[in-house]
Amino acid sequence: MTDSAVSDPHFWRAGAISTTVVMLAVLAILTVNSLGAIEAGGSHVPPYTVINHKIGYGPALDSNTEVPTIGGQELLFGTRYTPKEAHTIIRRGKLVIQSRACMDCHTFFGNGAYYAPDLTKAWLDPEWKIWKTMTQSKTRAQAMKRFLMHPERYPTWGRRMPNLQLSAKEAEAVVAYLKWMSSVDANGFPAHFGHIEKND
Amino acid sequence: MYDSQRLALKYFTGAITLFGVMIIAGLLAAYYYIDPQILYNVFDFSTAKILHIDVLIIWLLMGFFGAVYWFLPEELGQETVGLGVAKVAFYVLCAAVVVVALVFIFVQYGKSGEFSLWFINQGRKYVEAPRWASLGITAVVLVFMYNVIGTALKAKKITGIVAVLIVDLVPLFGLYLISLPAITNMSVDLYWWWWLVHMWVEATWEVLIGCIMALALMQLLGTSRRIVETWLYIEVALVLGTGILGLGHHYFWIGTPKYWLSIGGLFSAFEPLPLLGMVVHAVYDSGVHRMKATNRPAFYWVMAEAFGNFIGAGVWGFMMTLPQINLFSHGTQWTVSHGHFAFWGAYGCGVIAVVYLALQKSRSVSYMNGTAWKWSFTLLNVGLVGMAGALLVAGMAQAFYERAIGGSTLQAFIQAQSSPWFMQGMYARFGFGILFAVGYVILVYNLLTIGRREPVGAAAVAPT
Amino acid sequence: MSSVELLKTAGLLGVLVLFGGGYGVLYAVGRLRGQQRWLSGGYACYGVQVLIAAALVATSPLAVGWKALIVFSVLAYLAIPPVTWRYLERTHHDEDEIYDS
Repeated sequence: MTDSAVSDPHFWRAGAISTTVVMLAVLAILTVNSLGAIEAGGSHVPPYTVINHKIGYGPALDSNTEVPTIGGQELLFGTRYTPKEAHTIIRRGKLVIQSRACMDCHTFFGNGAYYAPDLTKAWLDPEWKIWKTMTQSKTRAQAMKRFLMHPERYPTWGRRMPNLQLSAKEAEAVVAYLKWMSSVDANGFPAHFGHIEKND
Repeated sequence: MYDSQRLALKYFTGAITLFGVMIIAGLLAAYYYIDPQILYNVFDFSTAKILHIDVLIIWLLMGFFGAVYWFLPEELGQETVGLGVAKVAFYVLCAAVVVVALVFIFVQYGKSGEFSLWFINQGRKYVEAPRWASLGITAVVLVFMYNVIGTALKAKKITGIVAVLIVDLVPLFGLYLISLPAITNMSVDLYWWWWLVHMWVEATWEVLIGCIMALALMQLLGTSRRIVETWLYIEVALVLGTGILGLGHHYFWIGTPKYWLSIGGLFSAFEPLPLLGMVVHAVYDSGVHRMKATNRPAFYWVMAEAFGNFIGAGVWGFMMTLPQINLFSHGTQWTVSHGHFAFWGAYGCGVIAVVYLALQKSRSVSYMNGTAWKWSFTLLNVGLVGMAGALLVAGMAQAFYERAIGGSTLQAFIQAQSSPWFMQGMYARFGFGILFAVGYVILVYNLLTIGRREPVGAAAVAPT
Repeated sequence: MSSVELLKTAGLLGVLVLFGGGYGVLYAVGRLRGQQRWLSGGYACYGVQVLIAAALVATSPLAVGWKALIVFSVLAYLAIPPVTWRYLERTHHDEDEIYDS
């Protein structure tokens, strides 16, 4: 009878256990590092008070992707949010997004459903210029708020967003959430945001 | 027949029923792409989609539970411990699924606040079920763990397969707890959410279906325990060796550091390699054990599992896993194509195979064959491959027009969704979805009737 | 990466794995039946896989590290079917020996 290791289940059991343990250990180390980077105020994710600032998107210094830029003061709904107020409105925004299951039509950082557009950079979308006129709003934030409260009044195209009964406070919270989200460094996602490929 | 096996048959009934609910919800969700005006403000796309993907998870879980309840007592030579509680858990699970579905359909959403999260909709993909139901599912999984561990303890026996199963159940339960919290920071939310989704379908579920297939192959082909155990350990080593850090392919774009692009891309590029080994193994089994396979539908569905897994998860996945490609394909119908093909190949086919195996035993059929199963096998697989192909065309068009050319804005999205390639993909997907649905109807008819008339013995039907 | 390069590269990557699968299946059938033509078909599939990998290395806009990964993967693909087959025969043979002895 052969006693070769490779035919012995115990050899492979040891292999399975050791492989799993090593991989989990590496994952644990990377998790600690990543969580530090992605907490609000970390290296990749700005604090919630970023909603008091102008947010843009420009070329990164060290790679050929783009990164969010955080500029001077640009108030949201005419309010300068303290850290506590910013946290409150952002938290409410996330609760709206969850309670209305926005992720089951839209995507956030590309995660969710694909029936409606990705919202990662929605705050920076050039379309809001037109929407300010359509919704008779002075600011982008107001246009977004009016749209969210009555999407049936402002049909997009064949697919329309349903009315999810958002209160004024809830709509403002979602707008704040989208503004904050657009400031997160998503390693260049979505691709070439705002740039149309030139045909040479 | 053990009582545990009677419970298994109940779980299989629940699983196949929910499979049908999933198809109905899927056809509806697909139809919105063709006629977006239907049911506007009455029944949104999001509700159809929630039903489709949540029922997917539940029907597969029920299939897994049924498979374990079926094989466990024979494996350990001991009736499953705690069946009284297990039966209650089954009915509680069914009732919870019905209540959650009815709330999704008729209430749909509530105000932002804890009440909505607890009782209506948590709004996180695949785990939208309200918290009370999440806790209920957690309790059912705990009962399941108690049944498995308790039986091993009472039998004073543990086999390699059962040991792997028990160890696997710990993360299966633990990871599900991630469905409970509401995390404000979307990057952090998605970081943990992917631990649940990826480590379920690309890790713990892979190990679980591996254990089930090991048990099934011993019965289907008479393969020796030593062989299936050896290969189970090899599979666990390879799948977890590539899949644990392959989790990183979900961390490209959610705000995490750039090293995930390299790590995730590297490890997930290796993920097809063990699947290639499985395909070779499947061909080996089909040839070497061919004469011993007395259950033709189960045999074919096991083959479909190996090939479907390789193509749906391996080929399709590799196309889109490198970050340079994924930047464009992420969050498009390309993803949907991969998801449909991979879930079907990795899990759907396996559950159906086990159901046929169980029915052969429960109806005392010495040689299981027939015509109807061939029709359902063909239609389901052609339907699925057709859907995946149509979605691939639509997804590539979307990545091309919306992301690569259009600059990923709202206008770019609208233009891509309206493009002819995309729209034709949507029509084709719906058509193949109808084929799939017809295949399902025949499957149900076949499962209800196969082996029930005269015993299908070797004399009555010549082996093909 | 341009729009056209995107579709070309992704398509080649998918077909790379597909031909790897073809190699695995035809190799296995060839070993099962002991017929050279199936084995030759398998090696032909592998040959196509190598050509696809070469095309990716030569023409795709991927960085050097990723091209190296593709080369390494293709080498692994070469080994997997014969190694898997050998261990399958070995484990089944050992099993028969246990029963016979």
